[in-house]
Amino acid sequence: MPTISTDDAARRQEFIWLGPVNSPWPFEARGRAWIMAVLLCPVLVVIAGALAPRPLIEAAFPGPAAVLVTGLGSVVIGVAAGVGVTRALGRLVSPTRPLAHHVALLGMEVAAPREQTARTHRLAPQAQAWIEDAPSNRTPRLLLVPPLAQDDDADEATNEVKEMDR
Amino acid sequence: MRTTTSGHRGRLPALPGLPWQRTPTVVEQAPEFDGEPDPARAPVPTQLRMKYAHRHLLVTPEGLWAFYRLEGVDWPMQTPAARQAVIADQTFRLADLTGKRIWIRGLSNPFPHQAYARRLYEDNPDRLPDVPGARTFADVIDAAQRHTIALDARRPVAILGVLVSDYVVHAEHLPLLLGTAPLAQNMGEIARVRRDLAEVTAAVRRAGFGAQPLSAKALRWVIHASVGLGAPVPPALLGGDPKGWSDDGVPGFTNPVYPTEAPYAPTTVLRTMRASVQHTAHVAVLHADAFDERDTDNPDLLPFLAWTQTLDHLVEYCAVFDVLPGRTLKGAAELDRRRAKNIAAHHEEHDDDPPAAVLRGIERARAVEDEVANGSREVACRLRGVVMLAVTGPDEATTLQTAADVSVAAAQEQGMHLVHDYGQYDSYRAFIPGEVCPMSGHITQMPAYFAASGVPNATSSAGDPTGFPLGSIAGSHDVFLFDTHGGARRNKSNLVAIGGDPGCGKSSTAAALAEWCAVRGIRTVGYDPSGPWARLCDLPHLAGHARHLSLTGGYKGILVPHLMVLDPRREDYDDPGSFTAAMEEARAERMELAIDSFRDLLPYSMVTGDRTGAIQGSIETAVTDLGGDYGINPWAIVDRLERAGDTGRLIADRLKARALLKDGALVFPERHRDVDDDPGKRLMEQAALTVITMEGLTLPPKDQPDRSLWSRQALASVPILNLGSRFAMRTIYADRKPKAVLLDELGISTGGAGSFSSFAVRSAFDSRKWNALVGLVFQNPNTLMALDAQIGNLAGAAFIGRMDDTAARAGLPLLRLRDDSGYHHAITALAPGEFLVRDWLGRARKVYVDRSWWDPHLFAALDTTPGGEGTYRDDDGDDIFTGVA
Repeated sequence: MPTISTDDAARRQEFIWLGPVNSPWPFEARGRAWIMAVLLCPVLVVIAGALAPRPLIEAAFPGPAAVLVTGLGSVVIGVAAGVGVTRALGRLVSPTRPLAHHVALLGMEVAAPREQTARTHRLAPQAQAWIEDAPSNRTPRLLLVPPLAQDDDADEATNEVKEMDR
Repeated sequence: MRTTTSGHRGRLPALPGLPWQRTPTVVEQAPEFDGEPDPARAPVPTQLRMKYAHRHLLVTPEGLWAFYRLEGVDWPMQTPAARQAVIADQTFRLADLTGKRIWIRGLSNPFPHQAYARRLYEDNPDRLPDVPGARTFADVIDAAQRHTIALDARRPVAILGVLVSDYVVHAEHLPLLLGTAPLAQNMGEIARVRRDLAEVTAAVRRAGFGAQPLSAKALRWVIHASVGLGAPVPPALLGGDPKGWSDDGVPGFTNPVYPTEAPYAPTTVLRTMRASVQHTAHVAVLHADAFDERDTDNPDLLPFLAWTQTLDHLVEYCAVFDVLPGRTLKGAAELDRRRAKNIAAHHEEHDDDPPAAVLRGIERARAVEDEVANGSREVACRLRGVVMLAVTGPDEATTLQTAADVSVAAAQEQGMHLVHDYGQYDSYRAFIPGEVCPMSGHITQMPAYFAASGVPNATSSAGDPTGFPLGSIAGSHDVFLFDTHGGARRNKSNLVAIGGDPGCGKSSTAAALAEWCAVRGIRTVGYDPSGPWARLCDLPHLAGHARHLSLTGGYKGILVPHLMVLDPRREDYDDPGSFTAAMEEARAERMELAIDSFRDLLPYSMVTGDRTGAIQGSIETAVTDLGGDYGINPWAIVDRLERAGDTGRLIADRLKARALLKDGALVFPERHRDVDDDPGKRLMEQAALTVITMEGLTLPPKDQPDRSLWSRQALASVPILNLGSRFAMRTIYADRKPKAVLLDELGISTGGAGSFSSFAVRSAFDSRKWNALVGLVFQNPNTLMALDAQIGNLAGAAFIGRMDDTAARAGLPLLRLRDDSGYHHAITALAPGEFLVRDWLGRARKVYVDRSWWDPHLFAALDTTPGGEGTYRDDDGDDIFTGVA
């Protein structure tokens, strides 16, 4: 039975790092999750350190211990947050939906026309669109988007609203 | 809140000046708009990316696009080899586009109701005059239109766009790309683009795609239909009316659409203005995330792109691919293989079995690497991109339910796994020509031969551009139109064979075709010995234009064999040689008919007991001695037999005795009187519809082919029935105007083998030459095949209804299907009213003959079901379980 298939089975392989030989991790994580976590954790550690409630820590742990506690706490919190964020994002990331796709989606969603805005979007060709049917006709005709009854209605309705406001 | 009201009459506005304009039509309700667009809000033009358009060319910031319409390729009921050939052709076409970005788009083109009606009206100027109080011709057309509207008939259209060049051509230079005049020396880039465009156009025109550049009007239609997904679209008439748009409504280039999308919403809301009516549609775009392996030999597996057009829901597709040459992928393929092997090795390091997906990946990676490194150009070629399906609905819940249904169907029927992602607005815009397609996710890479198995232009459409709306075509949303004279128009045989078991609807379909011809003013003869068709003459709208002719009550000598085959006319032949040959042929056929008739007039036991052939020989000698000239008196043959010895005298005595009987008197005129053909001619010329019956004749049993088991009366009717069918057939030689002759099975099954063969050949050829529809209605194809094995080739079209397995196999040649194709199972599984129909172009389709739109009087006249339609119920009437979950 001759069958044909896409190349996706070959291209969508994901590496899972099981850990050092003879010392496997007690959990499984994809290679890209490790990379994401490694990149994310230092950033979050720094952020956790910056946001640490130093007066409270210094009050509780006077002297050099405060620095040690702050540092250790930042690392623990930063790593935990990094793992948490990585796990949360990792669920959304796959070979067909890489992280860049989610970033692109964010851009698309931000740019999409919204319903609850002051202005509505009207999708139409450019008014200067050249339309030429016959090859001999070298002077292109200018085709304008025909005026809409709705636009007229809108103007009328706007006037009515203004009158009511008065 | 603002509600839009409109006087728009829906998709069936009245045609000014045409008779059916008074008919009320479907009224399209404007949707509630819920205050959007808010009148107080100023619309912001969001322009499409297209900058200039010239014929099929579109310039966007990305470069120059060229758009083509793909020619439909026949897919249903094709052999696996033919399908493989289509896929192979398309593989080559895709490989020809290496280095380009392509955009494949599937749309639905609504059935052009208005243009269809107008064409019917204009094509039939000789239609019968209206009868007061009865149905008019305009009513017929109106009913046909309503029927096609009720079916929501539409046809798939496949459009191919190719990004020819990334050079942004200026509008003034666009016409130069299509010209052949030499370009100035400083226009080297334009020359390069022109060369690329010519190469692309030449490539896509070849077999497989058969693509034609879109006209500007058609490109406008594609943009119009794509921008307003889910809104009504006027029919494009891409392959029909050269005038382009029908009167269903000529839109502008595209009327504006108001799209909105809530953050991370599952659908895009499109508020569209169409003919001053606002429509709201929710559009959900689904991405094909993965494809299972495909078995290309599976006859039930439809192409994954064309399949979308078979769904109950309106689904459109868009596929955007970069066509990549294999050599550029060699490194990536090697990397994929190594990565997969490393993953497997890592698992083995931990004494763990590699996941099955990894092992499959290794296997596939090896094959891919081999193909891109060592395969031919077509095998190595890869397409990388996205496949999207768009579903629409009036609200979000309905749309999402439809999307879920389509996803399940795609997985089940196609092994295509769809996902519903965010970024719906940008995905929707990818369906518009020239717009950017988001390529950040759901990227799939497939060989060209896999993409070719999508066959975007596979079509189930069949039938004629105009004609009798037979019914819907299975596996599509198209309607099968049957042009009763489509064979002659194409210079082919206009003989149609209609067969099937009793109750399958063959007789009523044939009678409906007869009535359809008659109301169009086409001289029509229906030959139905058993008589039900006679009720056609009582139809109110045919009053005064129909005649019931009972041959058993006719004058003596109305069925003289030598009058049943007319002489050809000299003016119908170009050269004397062919005319002489036609005359000889007519003489020979008369003699064969006379021999068959005289033999069959003798007692059956006398003929079957003729082991020496003396009786047959005597008749042959007597007939051939007198020759085959038109109008030879049968008594002259009897006289010749009387002088031909004892056997001849015996035969003559029997024939003289038979001439005294009621049926025999039809063959023999009054003794010593000349043959007179004028009354017969006049009878046929006096009415638009003539139904010939044989009332009072004992007809042979339909289900008993063995004549030895027939009664004496039934055997005696054989020659009369045969001659009656010839009598009906004479109509086609009356003039060159369109005519129709439909013969019930009895006239055929009782025809002699010798004369029937020449009769069938003459019918096939003369139906074309004389512009006549010749319909042969039969119950068992073996009856026809036994008489003439070439009937399958002689028939221009065929309708095959439900039959048993043996008969179904015999019916396959009539459909031009191979004996080993396995489609006899499809015939045995047909329901009443369903037919496998071969149209005049040889395309076979399963068609449900829908009688719901027929005139009630016609329906009642043809309904032979005991107790009437709908009295039979499959259930037992016990509804105790109805409604129980």
